[in-house]
Amino acid sequence: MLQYIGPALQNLFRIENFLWLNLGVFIGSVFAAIPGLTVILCIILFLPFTYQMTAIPGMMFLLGIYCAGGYGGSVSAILINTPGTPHAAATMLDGYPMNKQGRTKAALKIALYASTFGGIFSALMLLFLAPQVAKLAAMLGTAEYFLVCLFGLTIIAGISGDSMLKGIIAACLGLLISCVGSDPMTSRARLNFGMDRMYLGLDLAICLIGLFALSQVLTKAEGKEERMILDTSSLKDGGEITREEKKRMVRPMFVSSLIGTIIGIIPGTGASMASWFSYDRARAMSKHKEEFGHGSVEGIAAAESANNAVTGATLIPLLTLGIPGDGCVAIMLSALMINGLNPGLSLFTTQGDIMYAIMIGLIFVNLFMFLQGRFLTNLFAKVVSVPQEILTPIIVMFCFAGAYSVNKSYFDVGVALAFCAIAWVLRKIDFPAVPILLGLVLGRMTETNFRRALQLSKGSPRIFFSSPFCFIFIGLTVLVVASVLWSRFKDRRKATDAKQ
Amino acid sequence: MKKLLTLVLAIALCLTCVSAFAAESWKVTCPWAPSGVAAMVSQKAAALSTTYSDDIVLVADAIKGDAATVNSWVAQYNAGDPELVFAGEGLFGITSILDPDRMNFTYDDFAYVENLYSSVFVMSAGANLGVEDLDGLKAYMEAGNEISVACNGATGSEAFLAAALFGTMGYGEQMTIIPYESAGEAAQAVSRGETDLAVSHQSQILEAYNQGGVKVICAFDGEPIAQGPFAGVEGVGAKGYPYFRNRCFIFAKAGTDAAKIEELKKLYDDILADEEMVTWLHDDMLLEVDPMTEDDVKAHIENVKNIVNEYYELVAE
Amino acid sequence: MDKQSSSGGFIARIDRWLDETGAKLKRREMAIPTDLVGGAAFLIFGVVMLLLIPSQIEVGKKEVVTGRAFPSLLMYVLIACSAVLVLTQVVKLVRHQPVKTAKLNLLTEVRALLIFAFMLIYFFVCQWTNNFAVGSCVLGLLMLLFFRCKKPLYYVIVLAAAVLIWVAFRFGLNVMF
Repeated sequence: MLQYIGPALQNLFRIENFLWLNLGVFIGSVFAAIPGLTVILCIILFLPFTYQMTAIPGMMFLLGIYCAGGYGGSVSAILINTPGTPHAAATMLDGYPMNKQGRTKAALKIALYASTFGGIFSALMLLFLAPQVAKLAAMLGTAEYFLVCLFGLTIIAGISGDSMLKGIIAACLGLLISCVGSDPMTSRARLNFGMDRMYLGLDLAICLIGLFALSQVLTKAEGKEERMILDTSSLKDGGEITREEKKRMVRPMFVSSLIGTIIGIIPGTGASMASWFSYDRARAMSKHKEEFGHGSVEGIAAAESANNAVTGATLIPLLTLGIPGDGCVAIMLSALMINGLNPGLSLFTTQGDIMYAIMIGLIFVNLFMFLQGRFLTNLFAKVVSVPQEILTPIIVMFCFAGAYSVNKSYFDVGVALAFCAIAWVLRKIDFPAVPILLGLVLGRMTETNFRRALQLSKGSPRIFFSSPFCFIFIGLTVLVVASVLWSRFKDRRKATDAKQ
Repeated sequence: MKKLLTLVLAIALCLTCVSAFAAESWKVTCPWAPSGVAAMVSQKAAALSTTYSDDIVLVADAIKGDAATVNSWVAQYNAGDPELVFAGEGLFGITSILDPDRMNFTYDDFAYVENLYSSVFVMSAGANLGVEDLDGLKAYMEAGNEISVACNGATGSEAFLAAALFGTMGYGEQMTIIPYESAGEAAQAVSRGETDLAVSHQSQILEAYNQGGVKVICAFDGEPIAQGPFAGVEGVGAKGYPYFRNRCFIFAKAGTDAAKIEELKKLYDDILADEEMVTWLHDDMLLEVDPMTEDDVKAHIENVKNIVNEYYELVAE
Repeated sequence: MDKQSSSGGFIARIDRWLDETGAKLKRREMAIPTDLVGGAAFLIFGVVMLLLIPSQIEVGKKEVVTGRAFPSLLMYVLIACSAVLVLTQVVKLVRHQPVKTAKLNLLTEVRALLIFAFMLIYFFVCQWTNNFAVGSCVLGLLMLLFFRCKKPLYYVIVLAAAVLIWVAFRFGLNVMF
């Protein structure tokens, strides 16, 4: 490794690389901050720019978009209660309440610090442990994937609000919606109700626009007119984070970065799952559980460090095994291959200087994301001072443009509107919308791996107990379910005692 | 000096605008995966289009989804619209038989331009399976073993190639297709021993092969692979098994002016003859440049249809 | 001058009418037992989906776990949870215990429905004209009127934003709409 560091630094430290890197960071931050414009869409749209470049500036540009997109999604989640990207949904749960408390800048800063920490943490993992970690990740098979998803579904308990029953119902709805489209195991159409276009399924980003962004617009419109004009005095906060808050951020940031890295190296999982896992763990480990959902510093820090820790981790299987960890990285794979670089361990010896330049570059991407973020935070924070009469129609326009851009189809805009109506009805009958999102994130993966595992074992459930990893995930699931049931039991007993 | 500079900048801007608008943009929509082989080749071709034409600029676009759904634009656009789409044997040879209701169009709604590439699929076996070639595979099946084959998708070209091979051998009932969401996942599955075999593009199994996780046992072609890391791997056709290559056809809307189609075909032919493109396709993507006439295309589709009709039960029942 | 004052008077009359109508609507409220209504709605939804699944999902002969299994399992869970929710609420009603309710205010709901209607109009205008900018301008105008905005500058800003967003997507990102 050491023999490549010198040439790699030589390759990396060129003005051209840093210019592209910064441009990518800027585009990624702004793009992801706009509801409906996802990071993957941004990467697809800007990919052709990289064809005229060599591998390092091209990758710096794309990595800039990718990492800053991880942070940018939190901006709209905090400012307008609408996650810019699916993986910022967990950030919204505490970011927006903190904004409402008049601590807009502080929330944005916490998100930025946590994102940078998570990003650098995983970049270092990529640099020093990539081959070893990738080999471990490659050992996880279909059965283990299903058990990871099952463990993921336990998060429902944490995001259901007052009633777990309602949370489970909403999650079932989300899981059912994820079944729409082609059957992953047979390619037959499922639940398409005569609409051919449904064969492609319902895109997560589009559902998100309807469930959160457009429904938020309805919520705003329901308010009295005078409440539409925001109290700008609340913006006078200097964004201070107290020493105590900083202390409280450390543990969730570290644990979540680790969780984000582990999730990231498992191909097909992604940042959304990582941020939900981390948010749930942070609450479970916190001494201030009651603050979660009401502007918890730990909640924002956990979700944001996790989703940015995924960025470096998804590159581990890509660069070492040639397997992209998520959709964004899959697009980056094509950028590498167009430059004649076929990722894999052999590339570490044949093109070591380029590979290490990219990996070291990722650390700089995060550093520049931090520097730009410091500047952009002030700018973004001003968004809330824009009169709502102006902001609301503009948000709807961006939502429509974003929904259309995903597949260049008005059908998707219609889907977003349908989800907006669903979210509105659910709010009226006091059902949570967040478990629907969790169902959408985990649904297809859960079902596919469950059915594929049983197909591999010819129907024998023993496959779910076939490796030490299986037992680890089963153990974790049992532990979490038991602790949830225990805490619910304690709460109920407390309530009964209080009545008596 | 300032005025002169302003004038120069204004002229430059005007010239840029004029040159940009002088060339006609043709959007090339690629279905399947935005990071897949076809999307990559399309992007590379689009980047080279300005080198070979002053009149046409190719703009590569990718929409995730199957060709039948994504190409439903055919029903909506008019002849002559600057829109190109990709389709392969999967659409005309497989979907047309398996799921004809989803075909909102027929081959006649398209005007053929060119074939973007040909790919020879390979079958790889887990390193611990002990199968090295076709004879070894046959012996393994003769011993009564059951076998699982990882494929990208449940009813794609890869699945039908596997079905045709085992069906012709007479061991179709001993084979199970295990569908994965991507070729990368399928390669990983065979590499870690989750499945016994995998069928994929050559480039998609290369890393697993380099790391010693798999052995490439045969190619779905008439002859052995001629070059690249898998040179010498025997073709199934030489032993009498059915096969087809994977192709990516470029189409415009039927009724588009024949001269325009010819112009587009010439542009693609020039791009595909570009030295850099040829080297990249051969060495990095492990694909072949394979210009085809429309008769060749129809024969290819017919061949695939025959295979699908014959081995339908092994894949789709 | 006369014209101005008459138009001002017209706007004032409309404002007054809107205020009066709003006040009337605001007085109309109803309480709905959320858990009971929600539970019953999901119960019906689950049963309907279970009935529809066989016609919506074809299955093959060789599938170890069919494509119907997972959606059906989900619907059974959903039905079970909804039934428990409904039963607990019914028991509370029988025992004359308070059930969870939410107040629906007619003014609030009408405002939300109006905005949703604007979005639908936006959707259809975009599709019909096949021009995002036209639809966006219509939406912008409708929303500003909804908010009873009287500042001409706000109208200019929103309409300019509508065109700019279209330009950025159409020419910057090559999204044709």
